[in-house]
Amino acid sequence: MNPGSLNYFLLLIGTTIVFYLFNDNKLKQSVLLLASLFFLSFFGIIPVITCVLLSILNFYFAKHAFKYGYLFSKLVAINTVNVLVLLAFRFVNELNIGSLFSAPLIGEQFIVALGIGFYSLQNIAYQIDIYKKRYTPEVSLLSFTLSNTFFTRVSSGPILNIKAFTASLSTLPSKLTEENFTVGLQRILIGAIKKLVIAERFSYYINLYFDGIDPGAKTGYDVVIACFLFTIQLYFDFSGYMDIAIGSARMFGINLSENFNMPLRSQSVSEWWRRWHITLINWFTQYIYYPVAYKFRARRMMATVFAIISTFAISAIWHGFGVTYLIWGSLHIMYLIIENFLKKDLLRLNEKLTSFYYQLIFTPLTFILVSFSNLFFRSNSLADAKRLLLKLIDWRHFFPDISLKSWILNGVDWKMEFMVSMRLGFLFAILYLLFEEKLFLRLNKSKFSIPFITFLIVFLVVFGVFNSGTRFIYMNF
Amino acid sequence: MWKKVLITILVCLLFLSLAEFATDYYLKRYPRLKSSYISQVEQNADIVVLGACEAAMMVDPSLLDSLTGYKTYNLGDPGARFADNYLDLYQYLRFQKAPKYLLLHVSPESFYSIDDKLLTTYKHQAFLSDSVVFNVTKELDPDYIKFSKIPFLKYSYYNIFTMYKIFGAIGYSLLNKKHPDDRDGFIPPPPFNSDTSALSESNVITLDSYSWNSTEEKYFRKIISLCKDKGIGVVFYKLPYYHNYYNANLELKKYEERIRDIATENNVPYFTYDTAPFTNDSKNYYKLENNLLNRNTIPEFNKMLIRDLKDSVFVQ
Repeated sequence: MNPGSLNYFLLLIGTTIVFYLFNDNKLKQSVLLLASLFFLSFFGIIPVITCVLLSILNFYFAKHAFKYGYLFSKLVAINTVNVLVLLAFRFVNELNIGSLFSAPLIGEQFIVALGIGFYSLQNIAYQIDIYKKRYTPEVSLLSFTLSNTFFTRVSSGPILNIKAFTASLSTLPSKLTEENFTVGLQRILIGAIKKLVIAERFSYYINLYFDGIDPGAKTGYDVVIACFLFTIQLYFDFSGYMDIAIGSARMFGINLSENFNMPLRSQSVSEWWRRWHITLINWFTQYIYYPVAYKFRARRMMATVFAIISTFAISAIWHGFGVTYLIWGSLHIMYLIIENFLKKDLLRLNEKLTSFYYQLIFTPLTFILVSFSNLFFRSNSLADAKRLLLKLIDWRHFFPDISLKSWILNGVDWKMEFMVSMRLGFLFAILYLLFEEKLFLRLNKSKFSIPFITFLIVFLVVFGVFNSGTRFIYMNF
Repeated sequence: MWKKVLITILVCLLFLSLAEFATDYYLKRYPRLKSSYISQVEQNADIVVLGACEAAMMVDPSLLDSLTGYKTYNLGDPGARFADNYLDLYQYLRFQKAPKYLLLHVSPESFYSIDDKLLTTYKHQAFLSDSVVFNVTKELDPDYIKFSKIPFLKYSYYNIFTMYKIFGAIGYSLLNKKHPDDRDGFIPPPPFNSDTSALSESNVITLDSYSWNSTEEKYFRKIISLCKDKGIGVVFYKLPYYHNYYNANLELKKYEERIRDIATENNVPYFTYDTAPFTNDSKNYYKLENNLLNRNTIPEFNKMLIRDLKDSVFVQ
């Protein structure tokens, strides 16, 4: 059951109905917890056991440690457990051991413990915050477990602040208001459109170019297209999931944090990371970047460099053990360090050029740099990445050997269906990006508009690609 | 609020039903869809060619017509499985007179399904109201049937394939075009020759996990039965494999015997060309498909096929 699938929406509708049958807050939370465990059980028994056990362990450990004195050694012990469990599952995924076990026991391949990457970070942060006495421990095991398992966001985030989330659970609404329903439904519909109408249309080419034999991309031009399309696909896929997660939570009166803020408009890589996967970056900033920068503060510039290296090295490992992730992380380290050294020059340039020209140069440049790093992020192995890289720098055979007319009419591949579909997806992506800001404001309007919602539904059904399933890329992490 | 929700649902259903109705209309009249074309334009064919791309792209009706005196229509459909072939033939016989002969491409790989997709459903969407099409689809693609009950989802479920056809159908309608460019159904491969050097010995793909799919056999036999019922003479043929591939896959020969047994059981001739001289050079092939020939080699193969048909089939 993937978010965005028919089964997911049936679960959401059923849970919403039962949720509003009860007035008691604890019963409402119990309904959400049961729905969440039911959702997790679709991916096997291991995600359920892992999530529940880690929740119980972290809940009682924090409570006990706080009561009897939260020593640093205790913090190291509990977070070592959190990190080791996370790494163990990452290792299982990396070795593809999951596929050796029977499907009902382990669940889908690559999702042996769905969402562990996300709720592990929540638990680690929770322990640090309690240790630093930023908060007192959560008193309700029910609320704590729900913050880890909550079905609308368990598979790919956003990463929650457990105390803030459990606080919001104390004021669950007694009835479904027009505002919650309308805003929630609009976010779900726009998320489904991003995923099914845009991201899915790029899948064929991206899979062909990255996964085919040798891999599929034959020229440097193919590699460029594959990297650009993957960056766009990743944005629409991941932010589409976020919209569905945020919209679904809104049905229960729960406001989840935003995870994206129009990253494709970024004018620098550092801005990209302030706009992309915001809750993850906030986590790394607060628990890795700042402590490292503070520790080495005497070394001035080097403190920033150390902090960037630590943050992205850990971020790369969080994504997986592959060398390709390490290269991806290293590239971002390099981008950010160079940007940091050129900070003053860039500011001067921004003053010299008008903001329009600065944007005209640096927005595409940022997109190109991020897309290039995604060549490694998406490649299945280092060998594949190397082959793609060699094609990219082979200038003599950079363009495919076809005429411009043939390219316009047929594209590189003679399978016209895929070419038309991909170009249609690209057109929708451009239109969306042009009106992204206005649309975001429209989505937060609380009045139910028949024409607007009818348009979203009809557009989704007419242009959605439904047969390819609704598995989201970030469910792998 | 709930009144507004109800109105929205009704308006959406109305829009989507209208869109489905319009798409039905255009696709059933779209000449580039063979199943639509044969329902609109009389073919009067003596020979019908059936199969996947090995039929659609490799058998040239104009050559057959000129050398045999018969009229041929190529009903082959790239990417088709036997269930698709069965539905295509069923559609053909619904609207056209039965041909004298059916030329069916069969190879061991026709019974080998990599992804368990035994029907390319999106090729038959416009005719889903027909009970035979519906039942075959229900058997082989039950998920699609579930979704197809929602207005327009019968088209958008396989959106990547369908949207292109819908644009094409509207374009043909606006231009008032009644025939496709390839009226006889032959879709020749692109004129350029792609690099086939990867077909060399070191890169030969071996089918280690080859398995014979019983559902494929079921629909293969249904085609034979349908022809018998209509008094159509069936001929099996197989495109020549590139020799390295054929020699590296010993399993193929074993399964070829199984096809030959079915042919003998049904008194059907089975022509194969794996010893043809051009099988030794990868340059005679199109792409890396092991059995698809390029534009230069197709006439040579067609002449060999016609010779066999003349010698063994048409004389009877």
